[in-house]
Amino acid sequence: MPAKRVLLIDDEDDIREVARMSLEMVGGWDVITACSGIEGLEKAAAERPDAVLLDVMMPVLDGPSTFAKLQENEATRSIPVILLTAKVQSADKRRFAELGVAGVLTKPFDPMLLPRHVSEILGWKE
Amino acid sequence: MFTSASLLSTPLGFSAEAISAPAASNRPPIPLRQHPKHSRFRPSVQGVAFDQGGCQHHQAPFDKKALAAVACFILTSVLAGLERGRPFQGVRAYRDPGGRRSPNVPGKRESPFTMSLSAKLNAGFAGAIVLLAFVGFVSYHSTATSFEQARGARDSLQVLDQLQALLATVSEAESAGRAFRLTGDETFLDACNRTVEAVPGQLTELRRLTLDSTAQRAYLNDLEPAVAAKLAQLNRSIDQRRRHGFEPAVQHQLTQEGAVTQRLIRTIIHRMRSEEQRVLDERAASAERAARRALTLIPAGSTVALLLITLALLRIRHDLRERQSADRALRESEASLQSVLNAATEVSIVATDSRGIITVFNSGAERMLGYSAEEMIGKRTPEIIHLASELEERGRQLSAAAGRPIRGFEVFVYEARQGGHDLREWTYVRKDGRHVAVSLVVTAARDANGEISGYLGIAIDITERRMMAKMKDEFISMVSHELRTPLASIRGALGLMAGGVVDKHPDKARQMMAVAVSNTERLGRLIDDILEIERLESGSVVMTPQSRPAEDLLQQAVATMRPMADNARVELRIDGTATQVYADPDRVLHTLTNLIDNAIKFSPPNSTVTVAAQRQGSEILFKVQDEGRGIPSDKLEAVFERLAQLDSSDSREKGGTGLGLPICRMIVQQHGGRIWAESGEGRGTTFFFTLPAADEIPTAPSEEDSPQPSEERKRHNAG
Repeated sequence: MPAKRVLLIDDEDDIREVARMSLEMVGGWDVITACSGIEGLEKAAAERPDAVLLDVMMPVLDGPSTFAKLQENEATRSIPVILLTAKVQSADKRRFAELGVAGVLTKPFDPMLLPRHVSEILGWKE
Repeated sequence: MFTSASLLSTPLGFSAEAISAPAASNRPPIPLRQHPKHSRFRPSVQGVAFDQGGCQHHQAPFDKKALAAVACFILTSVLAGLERGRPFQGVRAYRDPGGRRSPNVPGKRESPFTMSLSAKLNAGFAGAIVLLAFVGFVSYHSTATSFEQARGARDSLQVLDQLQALLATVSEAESAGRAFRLTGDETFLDACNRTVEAVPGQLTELRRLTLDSTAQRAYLNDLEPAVAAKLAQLNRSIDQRRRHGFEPAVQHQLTQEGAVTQRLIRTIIHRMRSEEQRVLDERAASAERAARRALTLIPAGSTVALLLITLALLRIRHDLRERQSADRALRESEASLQSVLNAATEVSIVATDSRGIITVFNSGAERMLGYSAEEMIGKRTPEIIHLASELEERGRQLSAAAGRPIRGFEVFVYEARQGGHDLREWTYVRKDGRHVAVSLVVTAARDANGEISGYLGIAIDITERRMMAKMKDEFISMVSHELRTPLASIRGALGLMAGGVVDKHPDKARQMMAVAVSNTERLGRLIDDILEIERLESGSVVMTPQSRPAEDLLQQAVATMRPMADNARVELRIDGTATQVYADPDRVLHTLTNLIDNAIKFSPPNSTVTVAAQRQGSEILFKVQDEGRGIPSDKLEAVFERLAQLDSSDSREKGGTGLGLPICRMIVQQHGGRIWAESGEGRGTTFFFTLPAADEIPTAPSEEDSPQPSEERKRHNAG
């Protein structure tokens, strides 16, 4: 069974790096990274990952806008998206839930458990 | 026709024995001492009572005690009513059975028996009218009595005259008859006959005059035969004189028969005169009593009535003055209340009646909603100023709770009707359609009976408060996000190391260690900025301005930011002139480093950030110029807002806290300076700020006099 391929979109270099190492070294998945929403859209369309981990607060094109564009594109519409965000206010959570994403994970996260949480949301068997 | 012939032929039925001894007669004795039935003596129905035997009992036409009692009752009732306002409790009881507070005179609790002014007026004048009617009745009655008695008296005098005339006639006939018998002269008979001819008419007149007197009729029944007998005797004596000559006639005259009859006639006439005189006396007495009663009651009743009217008028005048005073106080109170309502220009005060029709719409409401009071009062309900969707939603909630449909105006007042008040936030819709967020409290207004007479809604505009709350929530959200971002890096890096994932990869371990360290520092800066902005906003930061060369400050700031610029491959250049600034050096350095940090972050590699200071009038103008992408002109002011970074489309690109520019503005403003930005798409951005020039400050201390740099400054410089 081939390893899962995950696209990680986050403008924070350090977080992107930590999450990448977690997904690769703990989860054993292939990780594609993008530092902005625009780059993420391009890589999603090109790479067709199994899932997208998407930051919310990003310049130019934020997470919800990126998700909307992924949904608009026939090629990327079926890719499940999980928001990875530091915004944890209840109003924010309600707003994210209404977007139609597969799930929401909050920052800070435990890098040793991040792959498991992603698998649980997406129904992947470890 | 009662003629002398008929008289003479009429059987007398009245013997000399009977006349001489009337008590021995079979006929009942004439009740001379008994008050006979006497309808002529009826001054009024009330004035005379009759027993079963026809005896009249003279009473006072109006019992004096009863009369006095009636008068006293009326007088005391009316006086008491006028004094205490309670002659007729029923009037007041009907008007206000509860006896509760009168709505017309606020603050004055009325007695449950207090009368209205009109009731007092009615009571006073009704009493006076009753008394005047009573007096009029008494006056009429007395006059009628006097009239009747006068007429009766005239009849009695005629009876007396007729009796006297009858007696004279009989006596004259007797004298003429006697003269004829003695002389045989026929001329005496002529005189006798003329006299006798008058007798029937006199008797007839007497009968007519005594028709209504039983006693006199009884006497007359005796008198008529006696007169007839007397005339018969006279007739016989005349006849004997003619037939038998002088002697038999004289013999006949010498008999006692004529004398007895004559005495009987005199006796009866005397008794009839006595009876008529008695009736006459009683009539006179009755008339006198009536006149005396009238003389007493009319002045007394009139006086009392006038007294009542006077008292009523005085009372009315007193009440009118009180009412005028109360009205004046009420008007003043209303004016005062209205001025208070209108003074509340920042508060919307809307009152309605119990149906919801607006009755008060103060100037605050006019200002808040854009409607005039004239447009609303008496014409509208508060529904027009509420957002329909909110009204419907609240109606649904209340309907579900109450188990019945609640809609329209009832939605506002449902809670208030239960007692207490209903405080909640609503959205008002202005006349121009704009929305105003308000906090509205609705209470029920109750009248003196405790019944709901209307509702009062007091609203304050909470648009600003709601915006501030929203901004605060957003700020907290932003701070939370900004704190969690570096924390996530630290947590992730340490978690990977602790989990042993990088144990066999030393380079990755070092990389994670560096991530943890740098984000720890970033977290520290963020916390410093948050605390700084809070201190600046609360005014707890005290500036300690000093005179310093502006170029020194530029150099220190550049030295601090040089490593970051090198990392970003951005060149830092100082373009300063020799000038002294009067400011808190630590805060100026903080401002400069923030602006340079910002410029570096938004500068492309291999570009230049220029910092400069120059004299401009009485101020020193600082500027930090980059060659970055620039800021849209509509965002140039917003970047100084505390939450500018929240806009994700303009969010920080390089880990800024979003608080740097707001902090800069606060510092500059607290020095009395200004800060602004100029930019254009693709032409970079230049931030300017001004601070006082040292030579413009009369007592500006020199650098030598200034205290040593604070620990904060040392730390900042070291950073």
